[in-house]
Amino acid sequence: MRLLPWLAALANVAFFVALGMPPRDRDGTMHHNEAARLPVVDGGRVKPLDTFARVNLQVISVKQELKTADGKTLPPVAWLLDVWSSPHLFEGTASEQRVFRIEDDQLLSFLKLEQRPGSYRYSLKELRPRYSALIAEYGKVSDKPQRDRDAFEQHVVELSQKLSTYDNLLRLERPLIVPPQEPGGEWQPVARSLEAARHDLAEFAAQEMRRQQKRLSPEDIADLSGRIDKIAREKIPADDPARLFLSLTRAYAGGDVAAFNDAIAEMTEQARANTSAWDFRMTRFEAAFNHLAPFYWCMVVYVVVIPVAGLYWLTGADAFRRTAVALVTTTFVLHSAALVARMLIQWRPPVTNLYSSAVFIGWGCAGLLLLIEWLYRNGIAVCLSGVTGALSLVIAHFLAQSGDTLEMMQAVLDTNFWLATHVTAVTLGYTATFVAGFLATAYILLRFASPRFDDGAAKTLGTMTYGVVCFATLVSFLGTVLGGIWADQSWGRFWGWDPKENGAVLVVIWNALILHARWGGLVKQHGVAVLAVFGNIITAWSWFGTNQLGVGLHAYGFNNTVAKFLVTFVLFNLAVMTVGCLPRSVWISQALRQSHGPKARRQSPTPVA
Amino acid sequence: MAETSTLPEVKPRAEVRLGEWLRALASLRLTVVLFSLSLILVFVGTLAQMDQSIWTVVRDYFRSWGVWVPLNLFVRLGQVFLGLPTSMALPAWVAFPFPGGLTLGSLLLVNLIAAHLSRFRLGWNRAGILVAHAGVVLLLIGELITGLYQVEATMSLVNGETVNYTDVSHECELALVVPGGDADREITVSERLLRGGKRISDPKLPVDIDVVAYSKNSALREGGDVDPLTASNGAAYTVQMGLKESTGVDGDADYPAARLRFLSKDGGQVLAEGVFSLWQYHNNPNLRRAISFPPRLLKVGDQEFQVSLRPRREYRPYSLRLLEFKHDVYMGTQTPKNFSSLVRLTDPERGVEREALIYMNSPLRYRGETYYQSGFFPGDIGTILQVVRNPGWLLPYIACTLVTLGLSAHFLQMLARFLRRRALA
Repeated sequence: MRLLPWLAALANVAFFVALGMPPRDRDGTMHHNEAARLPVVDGGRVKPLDTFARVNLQVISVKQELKTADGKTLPPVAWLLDVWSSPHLFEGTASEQRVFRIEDDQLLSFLKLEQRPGSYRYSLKELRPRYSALIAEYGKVSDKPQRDRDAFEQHVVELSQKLSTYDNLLRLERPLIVPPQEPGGEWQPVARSLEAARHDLAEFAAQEMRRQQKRLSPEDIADLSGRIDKIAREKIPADDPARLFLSLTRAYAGGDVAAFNDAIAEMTEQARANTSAWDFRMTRFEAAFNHLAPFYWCMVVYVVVIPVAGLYWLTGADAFRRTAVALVTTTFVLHSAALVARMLIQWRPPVTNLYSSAVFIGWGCAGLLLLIEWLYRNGIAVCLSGVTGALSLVIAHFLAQSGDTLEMMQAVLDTNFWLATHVTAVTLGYTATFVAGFLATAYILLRFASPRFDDGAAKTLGTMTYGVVCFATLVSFLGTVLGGIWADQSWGRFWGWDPKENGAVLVVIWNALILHARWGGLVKQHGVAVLAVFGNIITAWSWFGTNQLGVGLHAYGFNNTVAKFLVTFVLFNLAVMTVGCLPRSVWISQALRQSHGPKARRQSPTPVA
Repeated sequence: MAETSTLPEVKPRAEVRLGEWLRALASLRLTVVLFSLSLILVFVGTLAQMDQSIWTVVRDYFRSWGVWVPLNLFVRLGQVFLGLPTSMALPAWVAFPFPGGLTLGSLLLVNLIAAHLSRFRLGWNRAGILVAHAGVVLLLIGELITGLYQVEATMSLVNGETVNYTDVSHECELALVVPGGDADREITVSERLLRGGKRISDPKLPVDIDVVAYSKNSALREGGDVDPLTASNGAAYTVQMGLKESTGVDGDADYPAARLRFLSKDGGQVLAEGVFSLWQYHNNPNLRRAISFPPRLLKVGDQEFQVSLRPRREYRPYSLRLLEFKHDVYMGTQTPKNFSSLVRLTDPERGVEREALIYMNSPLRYRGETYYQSGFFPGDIGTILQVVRNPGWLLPYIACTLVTLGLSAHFLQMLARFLRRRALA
């Protein structure tokens, strides 16, 4: 039993190391992993082909991996190579893969497809019969502002956008995969080399159509451009650098292992010659990072921590508490390393967009609560670090669905100094306010329900909450005013009253209110807890709610699932506050304590600090 | 502090009453109430930005003594978060009164000062709080000064152009200019008079002006047959009046428009009538000189005037000349990476002649004004600079330093005390 924490820590580290072993390509097979590491340019930066494939698969299918019909898992790069092997929308292996996620009943019945609960995914071959109807429908609704679209119309637009992303891949418009041929030149997409041949063929086809007086449906157009591209690919001159890419896809389609591996090796060599040594190393590092998926596995272990801490509460055996601490500590180390890795890849401070703010808040909450656990050793903080760590990484997981999480920054945000100071401080302010809120939630619920949570333990938790509120006031104030100074530096307005700024100032005012209410004797320990829970609502509003309003310079985008999540979170916290306001006489803990007598008290595993 | 017992002229009863008042004003209960009210004000002021421009909201909510808050804001909130039907709306008169930012800000200021007057004690463990509160006072005063005195404007320059005036944002004027004449002889009519919608008659004006219609915002539509305007690209446009105010985000601004009738001073004879809109202004940030409109001329007797609706113009004793505008993008994308404007500053009054590079997060400060890189013309032919004059610009910097130092000191003291107590326990 005494060895349990050490074993848990060891097992956790071994688990992460096993996951992180870089994958090796076996001899005599196609070097998929080497292809995954190939540097390409997209979205303004050099990245491994793996990231490009993942992000696009994620956008289309809401998942980073693909399950084939025979139940095998296909890595993103293999899927992308499938897509590239045939330029025709409805032909080839890729057109049979079920990648397009469609959930909406109305849209499914419009497309005459059966419902497929669980997977929700459909192939292009299945979409083909109603493809023209879908594009026609899109033509009708695309001009409507998003606000005026109903659910069906919105889903039509979303599916059409996915199709357009796919078509972009098919037409080889993205990524920029052909390195510059002379120093100072630019990376090009393969599509550039197809332009001339494509143009001639399309011209010829158009003449032919006019002669036959034929009108083309969207399906006919897709079919025709697929066939045109097939010929255009063959017409690329022999001295064109894009030929190398075509020999790769041809080898892939024909199953020619040696030719495929040669092509990948040569493309990697060309890319190496055209990127800086640092960028080249970082693309390989990023591919390894993707392979490990550290935030996903951190989330899993954080979830595991919760029942382990629960065991401590049930049995009172300190070994379980220390096991939970061991698990959180080792996971926190990986979480930190992963944050640093992202910073290295991007060469930026930790928080650059909404996704990274979620990852950072998770890191901050877990770390702060771990520190509190070290100070107080009561098993509550460590359990909460599991809860907050997992919760924020789940949020991050959902936020990652919109695209590359390492995107480039708009010009006004392109300043590491202010990102490092203002953004980090504001996010830390959110973190601290959340930590105070979650500690207070534990306080109220335990006080209400647990007979073992006596006055001494309550006082300890109350002190923690108060201390964290103080810290939160300081950092959120600092973060908010640094934002003001940045605004003054970049557009001459210290304070603009825009929604995100207002959100930040709400957090400051609320924390200050808690402190003044306590200093003025308006509330005591219990009241501070109730108020601190409301801090959760305010912070959630500031972090996410303001973006939903769709106004303001800081708004990063509208999302319906976020709205639902936010409403649930608000209702939960309001419920906790209501429980916190109930009189002592109706507390379950009181009833239990009276029925068990003082015996229960003696068993309390909670040491009083 | 002063020992009151040594001052016999102060009557004890008055002193008690003053003390009571001071104590009431200084109460922490009042602080908490004011914080709560501020919280609500900031929240509804955020919601209001869904339907109104940020400028209107700042004026009505944050820089006012009181405001009527429409209940419809909460319906709008429900539409975003609870999926209420978008057709639902409450009439504008269903509203409740609420104290504005000026009221709450001044009360907080009074409360804070009173607190320090009535409970003033000097000591090391209070020093942090004292410094932090001094910073808060400065911050509130800074925001007040900004609200009262800050002027925001823009200056637009194409490569090689020299400009000595700024276009004040969110204010416009009707200008009658003798072509080729100097700035001193320009005649302007402020927007306030146009908004009044009456006849404008002034000895300085060569004509009387009837405001037939006025709207705060307007749109430019292609084609049309009522007073079509011919643009530099040959296409015809019309100004559509009576548009909803914009929300003021993403460079989205209001374009006021007025239908004006010009009458001769002597007999009230109609000389001309037409729609004048900010859309026709040559530095219109939306068209960015991609299209421009020929000058509108008004003949009064044998004098010709160029008439235009333009942002309120302020002339400067110095000028800027744009030497080069640069705009880099991330490779293979349209995402801007950096903008910069190289300008030559000429000030004959002070004998200044120098070059300055203005780029993101690095403005030019000169004679109480600050020039920021803000936008550019398509094809990178020119730049748009944001010009801000704010006598209180330094206050937030000082205030923030004070608050941060004060709070850090206070909380570190608390932490030290806490750790000492733990070590003893």
